[in-house]
Amino acid sequence: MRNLFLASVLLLTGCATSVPVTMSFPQAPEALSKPCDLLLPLDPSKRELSDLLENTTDNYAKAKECHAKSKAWLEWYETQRKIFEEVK
Amino acid sequence: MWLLHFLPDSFLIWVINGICIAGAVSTVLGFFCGWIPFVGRWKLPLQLLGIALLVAGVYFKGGYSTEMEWRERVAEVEAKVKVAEAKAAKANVVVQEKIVTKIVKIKEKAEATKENIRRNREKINAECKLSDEAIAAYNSSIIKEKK
Repeated sequence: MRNLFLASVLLLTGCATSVPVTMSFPQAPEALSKPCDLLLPLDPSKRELSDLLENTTDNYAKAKECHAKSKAWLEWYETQRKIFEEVK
Repeated sequence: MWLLHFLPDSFLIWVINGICIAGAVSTVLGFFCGWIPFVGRWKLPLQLLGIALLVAGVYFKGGYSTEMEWRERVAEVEAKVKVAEAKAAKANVVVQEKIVTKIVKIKEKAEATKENIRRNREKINAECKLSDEAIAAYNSSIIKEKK
């Protein structure tokens, strides 16, 4: 009986399926892992047009940075997708 | 079949070929060499043993071929994955360098514009002063709305 049990356990192990190959998920570049900065409101004590222009310039720079990051994310995704497709 | 991983390939093929040859020899002796005195006495057991060994040998041979085919495919995919991981890391470096350079350029341009504004401060502010309403209207588009 014991031998029969051992034999059936041994035979059942033949059904075990192992998946030995795994591909690790690619790590995103560090510069893209930070979220975009929020736009800065104008300090109410600064009442001159030049202050407004400086603030607008800062905010435009933040928006451009965010746009560049968004484009970089798309590029990163497309590149990684192509690499992944090559493995199939 | 995973148990086969623990045995060396050369040993496995040696055992399988041994079983096949023993089966074939036993079958031939059992079926065609009954006229030999010793074989004649053991004809039926030799026939049964020969068929059993031959069937088992062919079964194992098939299993071994499949196992080897899988091992080859696994090795092939492993190599592909290794290349892909290296490519992915390289692509990351390219994207990282590109974005860092672009951010630096954007910041430099913003700083140059601000410098220009500071230089022409007097002229820019000569005919304009911002009212509370103008600041509030400007800030209302920037300040994050509450959920």
